[in-house]
Formats: sequence, structure tokens, C-alpha cells
Amino acid sequence: MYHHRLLRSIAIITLAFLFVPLFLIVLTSFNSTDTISLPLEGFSLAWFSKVFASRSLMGSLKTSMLLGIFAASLGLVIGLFAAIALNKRKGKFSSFLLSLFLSPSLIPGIVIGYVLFRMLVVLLEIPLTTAMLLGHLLVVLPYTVRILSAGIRECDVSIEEAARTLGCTPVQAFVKVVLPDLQPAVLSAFMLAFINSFNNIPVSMYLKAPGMNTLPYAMMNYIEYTYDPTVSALSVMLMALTLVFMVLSDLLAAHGENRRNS
Amino acid sequence: MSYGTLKDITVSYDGKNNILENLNLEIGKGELLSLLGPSGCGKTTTLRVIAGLMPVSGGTFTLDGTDMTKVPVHARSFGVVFQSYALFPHQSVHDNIAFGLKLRKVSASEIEEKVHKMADLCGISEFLDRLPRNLSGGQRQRVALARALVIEPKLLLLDEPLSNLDAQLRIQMRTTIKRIQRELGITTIFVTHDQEECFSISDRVAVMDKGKIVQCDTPEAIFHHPTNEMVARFVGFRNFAPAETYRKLGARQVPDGLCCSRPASFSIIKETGSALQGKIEVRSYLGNSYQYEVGTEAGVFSVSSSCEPPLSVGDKVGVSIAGEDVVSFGA
Repeated sequence: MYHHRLLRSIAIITLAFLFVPLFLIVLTSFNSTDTISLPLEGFSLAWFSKVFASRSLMGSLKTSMLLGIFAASLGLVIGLFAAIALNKRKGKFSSFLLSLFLSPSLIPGIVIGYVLFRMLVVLLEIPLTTAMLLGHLLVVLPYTVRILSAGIRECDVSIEEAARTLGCTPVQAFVKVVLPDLQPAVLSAFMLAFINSFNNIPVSMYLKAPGMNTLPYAMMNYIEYTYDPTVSALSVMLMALTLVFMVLSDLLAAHGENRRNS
Repeated sequence: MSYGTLKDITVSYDGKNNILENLNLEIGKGELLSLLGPSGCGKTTTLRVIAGLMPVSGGTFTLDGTDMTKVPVHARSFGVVFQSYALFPHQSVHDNIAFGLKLRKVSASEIEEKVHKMADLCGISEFLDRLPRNLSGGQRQRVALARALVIEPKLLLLDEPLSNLDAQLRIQMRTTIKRIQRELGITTIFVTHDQEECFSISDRVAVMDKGKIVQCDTPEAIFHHPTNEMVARFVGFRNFAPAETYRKLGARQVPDGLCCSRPASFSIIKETGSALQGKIEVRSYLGNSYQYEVGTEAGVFSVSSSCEPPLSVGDKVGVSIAGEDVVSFGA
């Protein structure tokens, strides 16, 4: 469409800026030297096996996975109810409440972490594991509420009404007819919630219990003391995982889209 | 004796502006009644009130002697066909039709029997395994109709069911609907803004305007004897003028009050003679006739005529009308 030389150069530079570092990380993770450096000296999978051997990294990976799954599941359930209430039973405060639900994504994470720490840990003396889960719930909630709200708004209201005229109670109509239609939104909400919990550093930093580490935090700790490409190897694995997630979520979204358009 | 009765139904979203105001309507058993009116007149709202999808602020709805006003949607057992058809996208045609029966805990063998019978009646037997997305508009329409009818509803409610179909299919579908309605003898309420569609299918027509029913009668009576200006305009009457004007046009017997007539009811002749004299100001071609705007000393009249050769702008003509072609609303 746009055959402008300057525009094209800017596009190329931007893409390079985004992808060259990632490309270099991938490249160096297979390098046989024990520093992140170029040129490559030889091919090795040593750093990948070192990741699996590291107890701190594997332990924190498990923590992050569990935390992500729990936070995303909880966020999904609460987000679903919130989205139903905000979109189906509109009242005076609906738009205010929606903004409130979305606000954690606008406030800097470091502030949320600090506030939660003061509130949950210092003031209420809630156990740290619970506090951590609540903190991550707050991080994921804006995403689940937003995606599920959009999903609910796109659903044809008359489908639900048709189910009701055929004999469904409101709850039956939702479970039998609306929820299956909402499936792509539910899945993409879950994935986005999981990824955001998994990536989070600032909230975890304040709320983590002694000896408990989330993966991003453990990675930061690791490179503070060692400069070998182990973290590169781990990053490559995480990128691959994210890529799989993204492709899956796109496929599901496209599937849902096809169904709606037909 | 009336089967269903809406009495003093009032609906308001905000407690101030009424969408429906003291609406009264009666429907006989086995009758096909249409709600006809321009968009925003409250016809769909009325249908939703009957279905139970819209809460009322006042009034009662009784059916077959039972007060239904407070009965929730799912307990009413009415068949509703929505404008968008509202088929369940993730279910096959068969499962869409069987949906209501499954909720009623009908036995599997009976479900099969009823689904197939209804699919036959609606002409969709060969599509039972398909998903709604693989059907054409007319086929979806039939599935929606079968799904609504298979539960043997006490009332069938159709919300502009034909508006998403092309012209030819509409005529075919409205015949289908009429045939099935007759065959099952099911009391039906049909919402539409299309006058021709409405008149062709209905036993009685309720014309609505601004949240009220302005005339409820047989299609013939509404077409020939509208009782107020809005209905008259809606069914094609023009040339609104006081009785004195019409007397000058030759309709000497018309009673006092506002009168109107259809453009096609006039005779237009080249010689003047006894008719009111006028001059053609505008001519428009309508396909099978011409419409002329004729300026006279009593005002401008819309007159249509298929006389050949057509008259041209500036021609001096005489216009007249017979008394029985004039509708008067009294003083």
C-alpha cells in the first residue's frame, strides 16, 4: 500500500529493534561458551540442561505456574460474574464499576504491590501465600473482565431469550446457551490472565514469602550473580511457550469469529 | 369469546415516558392477529410483554382465563420466533428443535417422533444434521419456526420474521406460515411494519402508533375504512382536505369533517365540463400508471391515472371523485 522509502525504513528499524534482541538470545542460548557473547563458538544444549538441573529455577517455575493457574482460574470465575452483572444488569454505577475493575491495569504495578503489602500483610496479617494469590488476582482481573465483557456484548441477546421462551430458567439459559457461545472468550481470557500473572514482578516482589520465588524474580536473581546463558535458554523456552499460547488463542478466536459470522 | 386479553398495559423504561400506554387488545382462539405500525410504535414491545420478556408497569395479561402477568418467561410455554432467528449456533438443527422438548423431560423416542414430524411440516427434514451456519436464511427461518412450534405452545409469537429474507422468499414464507398456522390451529401474533405482508396473512390487524392501538379490525375494513388520519396515511390515503373541498370535486354526500382519498380513486379528464378545473404541476412515472400533482383553486391533489397517452405538465384538466371513494373522519 504505502511505497514510501522513509516509512519503510522506519518500519524495518522498528521491527529490528523488537526482534534482533530476541533473535540474539535464541542464538546465544545454543552457544557453547559460558558468557552471553558473539561470535558463536560451537553448538551446545548444555544451558538447557542446566535450567532443568537448577533447583531455584525449576522450583520458581513451579511456583509461577501454580500461581498463574490459580490466579487465572479465580480471576476467570470472578471476572465472568462481574462481566455478566456489568453488561446484563446495567445500573447507575455500571460504568463506574467497570472502570474500577479495569483500574489495576492502569496503576503502576509497583504501587499496587506496595499498597497490597501494607494492607494485606502489615495491616490484616494475611498469610503471604494467600496475599500473593490475592495480589495476582488483582493483576489478572482487568483482563478477564474486559475480555469476557466484550464476549458477552457480542453474543446475540435473542439467543438467550429464545432459550428462556423454550423453558429455560435464567441460569439454565446461561449455562446451556450463552456459555458455549462464550467459550472462545473464556479461553482467551484465561490465557491472557495466566501470562500476565506469570510475567508479573512488582506485585510478587512485595508479597513473596521468604524462600518462595516466582520465575521472573528468580531469573533476575540468577543473572545478578552469573552471566552464563542459562537464563537465555530459559527465556527461549518461555518464548516458545508464549508462542504456543498465542497461536492457540488466535486459533480459538478465529474459530469463534467464523462461527459468529456465519 | 376472546382467548387472550391485554388490559390497560403500560410499559415504561424510566418511570416517566411510557412506551406503551393503557394498551388494550383481545385475540380470539386460533386467530392470526398482526401488530402493524411504523418503527418505534411499540409493536415489538407489545410482543415482548406478551412473551414475558418485558416487565409491565401496569395492566394485566390474561390467557385462557389465567392471569399471566406475573408468570415468568420460561413457565409461559409460548413459541417465539425472533427477527434474527436466534438459533443456537453450537447445536445442530435437530438439537435446536429438540431443545424445548428435552427441558420438558419428554422421552427420547417421543422427542424423535415430534422433531421429525415438525421438521416434515416445516420442510427441513433433510437438514437435521446441519449446523445453523450451514443453512440459508429461509431454512433458518423454518428451523426457528419448527423450534417454536414443537413445544405445542399456547401462543405463537412472530417478531418481524420475514424482514431478513429477500422479496421472493418472503412471499413464499408467509404462505408457509399461514398454512402451518391453519393446520395446527394455533393462536398467533405477528409483528410487522410491512402493510402488504400483514394484510395478506392476518385475520385481524391492530395498527399501532406511539404506543397505542389506533385501529383493530379485519384487513379489508382497515384498507377501505380507516378510522383516523394516521391509519389512513399508513394504508395509502392521501389528499387530506375538509369536506367542502371534496364537495367541489363532485362528492356531494360526504359528511362534515376531515376527508381523504386514494390517488387512484380520482377520474381525470382533459375536457373540463362539470369537474373541478386544474392544471398539472408535476408528473411522476410509477410503472403501471402516472401520478400527477394537480393544482386547483381548492388545493393540490395527488391523482394517479393510467390513461394513454399520458398528460403532460401544464395541461388543463378536470378532476372529480365519487362519494363512496372518500373516507371521512367526522367532525
